[in-house]
Amino acid sequence: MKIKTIFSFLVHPSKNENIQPVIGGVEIPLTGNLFDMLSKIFSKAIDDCNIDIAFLRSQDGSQFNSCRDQIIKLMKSKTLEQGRILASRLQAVTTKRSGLGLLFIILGSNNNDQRVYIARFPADYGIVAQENESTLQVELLEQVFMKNAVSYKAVAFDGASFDSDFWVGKAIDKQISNNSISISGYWIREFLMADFRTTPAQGTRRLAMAIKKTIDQSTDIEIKEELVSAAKLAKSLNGQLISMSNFGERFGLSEKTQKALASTLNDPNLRFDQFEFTKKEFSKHIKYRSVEISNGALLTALAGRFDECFTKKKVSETSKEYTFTTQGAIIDERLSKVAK
Amino acid sequence: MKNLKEEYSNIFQNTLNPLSKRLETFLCDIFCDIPRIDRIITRPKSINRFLDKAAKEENSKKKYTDPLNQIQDQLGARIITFYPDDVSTIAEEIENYFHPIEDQTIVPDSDSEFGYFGKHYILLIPKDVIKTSEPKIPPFFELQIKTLFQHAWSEANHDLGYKSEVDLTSNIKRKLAFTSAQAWGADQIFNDLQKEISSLVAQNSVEKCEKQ
Repeated sequence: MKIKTIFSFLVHPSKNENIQPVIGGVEIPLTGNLFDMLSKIFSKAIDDCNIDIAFLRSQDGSQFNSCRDQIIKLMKSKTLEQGRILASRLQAVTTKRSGLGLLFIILGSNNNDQRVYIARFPADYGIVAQENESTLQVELLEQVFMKNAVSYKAVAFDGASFDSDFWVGKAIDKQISNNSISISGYWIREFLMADFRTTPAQGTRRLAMAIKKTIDQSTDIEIKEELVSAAKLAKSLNGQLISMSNFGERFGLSEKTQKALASTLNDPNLRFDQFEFTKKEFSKHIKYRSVEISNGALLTALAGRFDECFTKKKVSETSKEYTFTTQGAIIDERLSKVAK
Repeated sequence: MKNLKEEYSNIFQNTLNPLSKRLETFLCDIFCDIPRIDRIITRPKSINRFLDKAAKEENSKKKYTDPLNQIQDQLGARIITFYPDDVSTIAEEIENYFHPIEDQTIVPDSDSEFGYFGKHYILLIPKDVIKTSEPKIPPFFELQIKTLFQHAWSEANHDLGYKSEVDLTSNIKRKLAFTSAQAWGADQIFNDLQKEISSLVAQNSVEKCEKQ
């Protein structure tokens, strides 16, 4: 993909300001050190941006998103003025907490395929040290813009048709990588008017179904045990951005368990798909039913299979007591400890 | 048009057909616990219907300049439910599990007219049903939610009215509107009946509990 145009704008924090500051903008020449650095970022854009996002429809339900519309207009016109409209949009949602930022918009194409990459480098302080023969000169620099800063954000859209493409894209928001989804509201929800492509219920359901299927199908006791334990701890993930792959890492699932889990998916790459975990959705699919009886026993099984696992019979017509029976090979005695 | 026919036939056979089956299974799994769903159907748009739509004109100009990218209902799904109140329950679930880029509640233009009623969505195809090895996967599919009566009316209207090769007389149009009004009326009454009967059942169970 060859870079055709690069624009840059200085974006001030101006959310809720009646008078928006004038945005300085410039077209960056397609040669030199800055171009070389941006070229590298642009070529790796799709790999670097690891969160799939999709634009939201208009509030009246129509197939329109004003940010997408502005991006498409910019791709068609490739003018600094159209880029400034996008920069103004970002400025109007930027709070003082997010601070000053340098926005880069890079447009590229390859035959019919086009890519737009939009990145915000946050302003930071930097220290320059210059070593002379016997002295060292140290100086503080303000307004240094760095890609590796914790609040670096970017988004990339690839496509060939303005009709059917550019509804989904890939984003990176280093703040959400720290699991705080609420901060992403600024970049993904407010600026782009987008959301994660995979909805919380859709992603959580996929994970829960994969766990359930693996527990049901696997004949390996360790795999079952690891998944049962992880499922019980999963509610602690509520509201966090996860993927099936980092679910496995967080709960220390062995490689074979992670493989077994991924093998239930239509496409193995789905294990990297990121979504917001929801406890409510997870519990809809993986529930444990526990019955405590007066002799101190605690009977536990997956809710959907409890009645299959235990048969219940009244001791006598007048008694309040029941006899529970179950049959099976002992696969692990520690499972009863986990249940408590 | 020949190229378009060949291209769409290829997509129809190699992508839309298998994708449609996977999407149906996916939808059925999600909605299996929702009561009063009569059926869930998915289908790829037939080759003839696609070509007819692609050839449509608007103001003496081709409506679609790039039909493969502009026609968004190449893959369609329909959820048929019993009563009008069920439509909003299903719509809520749709919003939970899918990413819509459009939704429309289609009703006739004026309150005193009768015709087509339905809830339509354009949704991103969920990643769970996509096989990246398949060529030219469309990004969207159309989903319609309808009651049994809305579905019955729209099918008959499509067969008799929409597809008709002659101009429909005023009397025929009035008859079609009349059948829509009857379907609408039946929906309203069944909806009321469902609510009344549910409330009687609830009342009855409270009384039973009190007696015990």
